[in-house]
Amino acid sequence: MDDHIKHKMALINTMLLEMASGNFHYRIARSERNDTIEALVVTLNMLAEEIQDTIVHQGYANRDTANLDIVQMSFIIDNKGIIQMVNSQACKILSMVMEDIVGSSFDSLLVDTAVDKWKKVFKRIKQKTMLDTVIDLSFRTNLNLMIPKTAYLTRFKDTTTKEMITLITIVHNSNYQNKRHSDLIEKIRQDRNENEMSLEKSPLGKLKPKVRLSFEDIRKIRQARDLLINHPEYDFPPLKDFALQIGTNEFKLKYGFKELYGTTVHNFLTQERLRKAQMMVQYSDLSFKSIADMTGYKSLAHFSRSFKKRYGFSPSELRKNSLSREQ
Amino acid sequence: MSLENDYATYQIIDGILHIKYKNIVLELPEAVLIVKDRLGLQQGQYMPVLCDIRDIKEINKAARVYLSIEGSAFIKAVAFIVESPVSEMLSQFYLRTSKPTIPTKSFDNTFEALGFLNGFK
Repeated sequence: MDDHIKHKMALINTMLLEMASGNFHYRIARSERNDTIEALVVTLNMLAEEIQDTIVHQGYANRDTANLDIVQMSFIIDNKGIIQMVNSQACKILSMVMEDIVGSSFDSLLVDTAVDKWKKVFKRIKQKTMLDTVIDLSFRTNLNLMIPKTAYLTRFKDTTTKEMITLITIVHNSNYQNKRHSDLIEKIRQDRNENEMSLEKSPLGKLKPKVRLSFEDIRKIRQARDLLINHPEYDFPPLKDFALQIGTNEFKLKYGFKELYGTTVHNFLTQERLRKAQMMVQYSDLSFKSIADMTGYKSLAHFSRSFKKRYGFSPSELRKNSLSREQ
Repeated sequence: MSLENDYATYQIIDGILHIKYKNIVLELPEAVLIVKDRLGLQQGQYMPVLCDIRDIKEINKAARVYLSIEGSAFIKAVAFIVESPVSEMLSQFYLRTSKPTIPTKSFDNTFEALGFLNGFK
């Protein structure tokens, strides 16, 4: 067998085994060739990407946005657990100034329940000279919100001072900042509700209806999503009628849509409308009234308001900016 | 009218925009620039597009998603030109998973592709 094929087959097998055991982070490097084995490599890489995204989403289906891996927070701490360095992104997330973080103990950033866990792990890793480990920690913020994060700890020796230091990195999967925020709020609200429910001692309180979606349901919901994406200009009927149109009921559509795409039908439609509108504002000289019409907005005022709310700038600001850059 | 950047060449011939991608790994920043230059050339006109993807090495998920939604702006229809097994799989995978919102088809020759696109002029 050709050496190239042999080599690639070995890589493909390795990657398949990794995927079988739940690791979707690996990719195979592409060569200059364009033959069938390279086609398999490309497909496998893309497949891993798609699965990775689906798993991050934890729903049935894949989303329409790609995940971004962002290193959010990095800390360097010394042997006593005191923070020596922090990146500015971390300060922003924790809503603290750098001066307050550097020099303080790392566990002061954590919620009480995470402190013990941290201390145990830190004690354990202090005995080692080289170590990589992962720990789930919850950070505290000024708003009394928790930020649950997976932290990657790397312990190594500083070559100049010969002291042992620990690098803590927190990577985050995200697509839209506001989605992340709304998810967090939703989660907190759910937690709150659940707590209240369990306090009520009602036996029915905890019995949340869990719906099982059939393949047929999923197919119909996908069809709904395709309709929304392909025709953002339509004046969609109320959810109840829309559900009937695609052959399901309001409850399944509502529940299933959220499950599949992580958002409500209404928010999804707004997002798609504005996504389309944004391109037209930026790259054409169509009047805003026509753009509003073409993206299903009944009035220019409503369109401008939604646009500004989503992007933080108005359509005219965006157009002015695009025009001035062209010149 | 024509244009060239680091990733592709663009030419409007007889109402159809011809885009030939270079030998590139297509990720989001490239995809955004490719779309931006295309829209600059089109000047707000809707057009059918012939996309020669034979030389593309890879397209990542972020780029696929962007091209299927934002990248479909001001396009009436797309015909991909494929040849090697790699370009064929790229096209098939894209059509299946990213489900572009405009009529899109894959061809192994320019003649048939133009025949398809002429129906959208």
